[in-house]
Order: sequence, then C-alpha cells, then structure tokens
Amino acid sequence: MAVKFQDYYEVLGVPRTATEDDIKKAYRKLARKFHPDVNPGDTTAEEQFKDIGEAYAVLSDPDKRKRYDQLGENWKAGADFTPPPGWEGVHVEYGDFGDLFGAGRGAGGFSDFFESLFGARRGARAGAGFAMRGQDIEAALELSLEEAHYGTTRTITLQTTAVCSTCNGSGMQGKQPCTTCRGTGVVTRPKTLDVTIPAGVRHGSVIRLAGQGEPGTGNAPAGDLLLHIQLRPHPLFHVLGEGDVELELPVAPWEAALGAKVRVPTIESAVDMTIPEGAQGGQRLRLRGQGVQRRGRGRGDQYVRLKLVNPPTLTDSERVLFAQLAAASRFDPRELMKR
Amino acid sequence: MRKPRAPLTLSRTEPEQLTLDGLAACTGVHPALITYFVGYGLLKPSARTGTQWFFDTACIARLRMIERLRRDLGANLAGIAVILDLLARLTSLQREVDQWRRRS
Repeated sequence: MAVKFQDYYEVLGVPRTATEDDIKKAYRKLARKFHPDVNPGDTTAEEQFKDIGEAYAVLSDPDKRKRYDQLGENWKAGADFTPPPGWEGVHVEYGDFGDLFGAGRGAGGFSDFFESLFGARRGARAGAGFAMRGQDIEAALELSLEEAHYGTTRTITLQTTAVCSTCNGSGMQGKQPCTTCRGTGVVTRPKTLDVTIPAGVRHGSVIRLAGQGEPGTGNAPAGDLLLHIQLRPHPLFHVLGEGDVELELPVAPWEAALGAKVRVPTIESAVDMTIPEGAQGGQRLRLRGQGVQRRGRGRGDQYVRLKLVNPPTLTDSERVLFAQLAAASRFDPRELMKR
Repeated sequence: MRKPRAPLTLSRTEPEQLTLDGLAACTGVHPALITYFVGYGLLKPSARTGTQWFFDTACIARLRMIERLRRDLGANLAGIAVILDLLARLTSLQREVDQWRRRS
C-alpha cells in the first residue's frame, strides 16, 4: 500500500539538525496555536494539530527519530512512499498521543504513513494483551429551537471502528494478517443510531450515549458517544439565557400610542398580548412562562421588544391624518437634547 | 470486499446527572482529582444533595478538555481556568454576532 511521505521536520518548521530542545519548543508553539480546543469548529486547525502531534511523537523520541532519519533526506512531502524492505513487522510502543476526538483518521489517529513506519497502534496493543477502555466519540448535533423545546428523535450516522468479525480483533488469520482489517483488528463502518433528544436541551448541552463510542481493546468496555447540542439560530426568537427568548415585534405608531391587543407568536402557539398605552419603541414586555422548555423546570419567559414601524407608503388619507396630528401635537421628541 | 450493512441501533440516552463516581468512571479521571478541580472552580456540580454531588453530562466533555489542555499544552490549572473562561466568552460572543448578522 503506497502512502504519502510526510516531512515531519517541515511540519514542525525545524531543520533536520534541530536539537531535542528546539523540537520541543517548536511543538509547544504550534500546539498552542492549533489546539482544537482553542480553535473550536476549525477543522483545518484540527488536522494540522494532528500532523504536529504525529511529527512530535516521532521526532521527540530519539529512537523513532533515528529510524525516521534513516529514510534519508531525499523524500518530498506528499510523494508516494513504500517502506523499505525490513520495516515489516517492527512495532514500536508509543505513547498516548493523538486520541483527540476519535473521528477522522484511522483507529489510532495517526496517518497511514506513520502506521506504515511504526505499525498500527491497535494492532500493536492487541498483540500485547493490552486492555483499554474505548475512546469516546464527540460529535456535534444541530437542532432547531423547536426541536430543543419539544424534544425529538434523530437518526445519526457515524463512522466508527468496530472489532473485526473475521479475526475477532486479533488481526491474524492463522499466521497471516487478517485480510478484512489488514491486521489492525478493527474495521471502520457506518453506524446508525436513533437518538432520543429530551425536551429542554440547550446550546452546549451534551447528550451521552453510553457504550456507543469506540470499542475497547482487550475486554475493556466501549467508550461513550457524546453529542454536543448546537442550536440553529431561529428566524424569530433570539435565545437569551436558559429558557428565555426574545422576539422583536413590529407595531404601528398608533398601536403603541393608544395601546392595543395583538397576537404574538411564541414557540408553541400565538398568544394575545396587551400593548400598554403610550408604549415606546425598544420597550421590552414580558410574557411569563412562554419561553422555551427547560430541563424539568417548566418554561422560561418570552420577552417582546417593540419595534415601531411606519407604513412603507402612506395613502392620501393617512397622509392627511398624520399632517393633522403633526399640526395638533405639541410633543417634542428631542426636548432633552436642547440646552 | 462485502460492504457491511449499517446496523440500526435504538439508543437510550443516559440520565443527565452523574454522581462523582459516575463521572470518574466514564472519564477515567480519579474522583480525588475531580474533587480538586471542583475546588479550583474548573468544574461545577449542577446540584448536590447532602454530601453527594451531581454533574451535568456537559462536565464529561469539559473534563476531557481540561485533561487535553493539561496533556497537550502543559497548561496549569490557573491557565486552564483562564482558557476555559475565555473560550466560553468567545463562543457566546460568536453566537451573539451570528444572531445579529442573521437579523440584519
């Protein structure tokens, strides 16, 4: 299997003569910059962080660095790479790096290039009789505000790794590497889950599906699937805090001046609301208990912010009436600005 | 190679409240360390009854993030507290900006 050569020195931006200290410094600096937790939602940063972690995993270990250097300097990043004869079957134990977010690359989070040089992590671990709880998978789930309010059922599909059924996770068929999983003991396959989202989740809630993460190695249990809830912005309602929403309600000048009864949409159905006489634009009114569902604590409040709007075009009679009003009124809206 | 058919699994969501031991079990972090994090203000139990703490499932993700920041960046607890606070502020501001952009 041809894989792309990766220039680990280039990834870290250090010369091939760099000392261990230089490598560590370069890694720390890049890790800070591209850490996925510090760059939420940025998938290129996440990829870059994995490359950096992989490069550091090799170059920080004198043994692995030596083996990598033996490949010579003539490789160009991205060139097709086949390990030289004699590399097969050599497994190096390496640390617990690159298990971020589980998804994406192969089972261990390292590139095929890395695995062709240093062996697949799972294969190496399974052979050593290592038992480790499976990794958690974290995924984002986008919901509308209505779905969060009422609760919903979602079908989600994930790429997960599962224990290879041909070799039962050993990676070997007799004396040969298993053909189904190419000796890694695990296969990736799509998994479809029906997930019940309870009513009252909010932005940032996490839903845990126990045992739906990566399978464990050895006899260890599988990890969990953690779904991070993200609420799509709603066209009408602006989420304020837990359970509270705000709605901007357009009102005519006469409705604000004289007071009125209007129908106001809420997350469930429209309700009647009284606009008090002499209401001002920007004024905020509260509809208690008409917000969105909170977990086990009833509904929050809905705030209604009044927005004064004039008719876009005036009919002749409207114009006459406004002119009469302008002539009759002694109201000066800019009184406070006068000195 | 035969293409594996996607199995359809019906999944029950777990209770949203975890005890200290439950949180420790599903993150692999020692309860004493979690207690320490709570004392430091990095994690906040959502409720408590008597001596028992209860944690939100969001704490799992947060705890993992704390561990990642410790391991990958070598950040200390004070640094992590600042990072988490700033990130929370950043995401809420980003959301606010998105909402306003959609409105206008």
